[in-house]
Amino acid sequence: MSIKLFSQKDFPSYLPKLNALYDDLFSRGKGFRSKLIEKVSGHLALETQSVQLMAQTIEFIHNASLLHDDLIDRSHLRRSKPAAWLKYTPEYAVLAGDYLLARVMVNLSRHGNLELLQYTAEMISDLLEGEWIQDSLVKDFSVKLEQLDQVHNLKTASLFKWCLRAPFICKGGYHQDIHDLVEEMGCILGVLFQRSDDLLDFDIRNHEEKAVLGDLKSGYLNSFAASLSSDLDSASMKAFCASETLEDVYSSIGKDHFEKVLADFDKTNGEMIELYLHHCENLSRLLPDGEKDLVNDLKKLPQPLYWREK
Amino acid sequence: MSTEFVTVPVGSEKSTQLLTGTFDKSKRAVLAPSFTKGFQSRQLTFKIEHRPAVRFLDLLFAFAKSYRPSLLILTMGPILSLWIHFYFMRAKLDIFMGVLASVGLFLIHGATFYFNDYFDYIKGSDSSQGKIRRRVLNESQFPAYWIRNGAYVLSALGLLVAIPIFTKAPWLLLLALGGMVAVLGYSAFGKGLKGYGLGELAVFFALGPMLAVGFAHVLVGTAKWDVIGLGIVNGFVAVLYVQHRNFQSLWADSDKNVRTFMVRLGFDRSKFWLTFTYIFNLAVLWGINFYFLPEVRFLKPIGSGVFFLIYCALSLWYFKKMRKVQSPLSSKLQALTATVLGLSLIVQLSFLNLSFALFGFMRRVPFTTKLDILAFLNKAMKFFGL
Repeated sequence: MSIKLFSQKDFPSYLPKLNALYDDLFSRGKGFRSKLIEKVSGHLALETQSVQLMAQTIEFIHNASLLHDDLIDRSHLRRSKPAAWLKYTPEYAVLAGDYLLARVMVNLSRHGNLELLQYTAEMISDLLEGEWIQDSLVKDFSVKLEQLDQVHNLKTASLFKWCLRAPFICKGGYHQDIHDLVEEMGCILGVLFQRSDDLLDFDIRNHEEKAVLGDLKSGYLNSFAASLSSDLDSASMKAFCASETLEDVYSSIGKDHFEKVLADFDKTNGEMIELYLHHCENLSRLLPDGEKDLVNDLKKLPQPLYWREK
Repeated sequence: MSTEFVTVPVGSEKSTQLLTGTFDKSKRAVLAPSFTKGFQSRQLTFKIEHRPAVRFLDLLFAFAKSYRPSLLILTMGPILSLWIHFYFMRAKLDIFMGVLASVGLFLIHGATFYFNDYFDYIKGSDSSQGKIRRRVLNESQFPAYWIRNGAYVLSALGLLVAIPIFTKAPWLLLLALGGMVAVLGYSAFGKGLKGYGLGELAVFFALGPMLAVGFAHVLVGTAKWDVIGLGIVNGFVAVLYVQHRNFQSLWADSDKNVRTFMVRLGFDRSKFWLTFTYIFNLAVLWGINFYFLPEVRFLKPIGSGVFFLIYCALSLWYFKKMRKVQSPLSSKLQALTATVLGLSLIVQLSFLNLSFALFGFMRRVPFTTKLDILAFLNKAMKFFGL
């Protein structure tokens, strides 16, 4: 099944600038979340129309969050192209993000699944809450991993848990334990994805060659930076926070310390992956026979998400 | 080697066994992180590990940490003040009963916090919320039932020690039990009193007037306005501490729908409230210090002046720290509770107790000695050019 995420018909033709902005925004996205929706829905034998709606919903919300995120972070590039707020002005970027969220609500309310609509609205409010709190942590150089997890839980993880649970809500008739479990699993995937993304900032497993030290330079300690800096004395901490290059990072905290923290970080997340796989086994016991294959697909997810294996 | 996990429903027999650590003597169950409210409220996941041998020092450290030694200033601080105060006041002390009551209170202090830790842990719903103290249980090597048993032992010893007191004045037993229930009820049962916004009231009475009046009755058989005043201030400071703790956990409480006073106020109004009460608290303390400082030439104006400057410095320091707190997750908030308040509590209560003791001391000493002290103070003032 091929999913059409966005077409010109979805948005008013009399707003050409808006359409051009969306063309730019959607053209280079990997669509990972919509593919996840497709995968889960495939095992639940959902109708194409419902899958299409959910895939579009998650991509619209994700892209709306990127539009707002780039403006808040003052990021100049998105998917190797100028960020929308730079190319089309910040006002257009905000309006375009808002419009996507509004479209989501229109589409879902037309579909008529009230529970799905409510769940989506909760997810959007979580996203915004997370964005707000994350912004308040900028320049907070004593932030701990637990605090960042709470932010990631609201931001990145809320999208992932939606991807896993929404198809179950859409189909309906599942036991509450299944809903709880897939939501928890989605959250773990989200946290893993975010932590892996944070490693890219330090050029770890950075196969896509993303720009490094973006978070640190903008005064935000991401999860790996928080782990690196947790035991530093004030002089090293100051040097670490002022790092402009990876060499600066190594010289401020020592390459050995960096490697050790990385090994511990991977070990912690390895344990979280094991926890995720344990939940997969439990889900397998709860799902009806015809849908148990879903678990096999879910088990494969930590590899690309955390270890960045293709 | 892969890690062994087990997931069980909340409230099941198996979950109780895993939480208390009674399921297997050679293994321990550590709560695995859980991220979603729905899952947290219905399921518990544990990581099952081999239980390593417990080092005696680690055990001692864990139990000592759970005893909350820093909070002894709230429970034993006023007791010490009352001892000094009544001694210098030449009151007729019942030393035997006083010692029994002091030891009993010391033991009950520990028992209360052991129970508190145990019940909080047994609820099993906050492993991902980063409550550092609970990690004494969550991450340590010994099972939770050890701390529960520790609480039983301390309670039994505390009550045993206090038997002679309760036989002399049975109503004091009610007062003691009331205090213990108030502190335990703060968070132990369901959402606890704090969940209904009543936690502060319970803490105020338990660590305030009830504590001071009860002990004064044991020690000297009466409790007048000065004792009640000490109790009120101590209770007030205890509430200040508790409210800071609740401010620190504002987001976690809000997320779990535990409607503490701070949750009801919200983040910004809580900041304002705490700043106001902190400064108001210092003003009250200064007033009491001023009142209690003996009417000795130079001592009262200089003493109260020094107290005033220190209180002003503390207020400014606090205000600056509080201004930096920008969100309920800010690390500045953790530092605020841990350092500023801790230091401030010690300073406040030390000054309070000091002036209280001096008040009694100056009333006790004979007139000729007072003249000697005045002469000494005069010399000291001259030395400093005053």
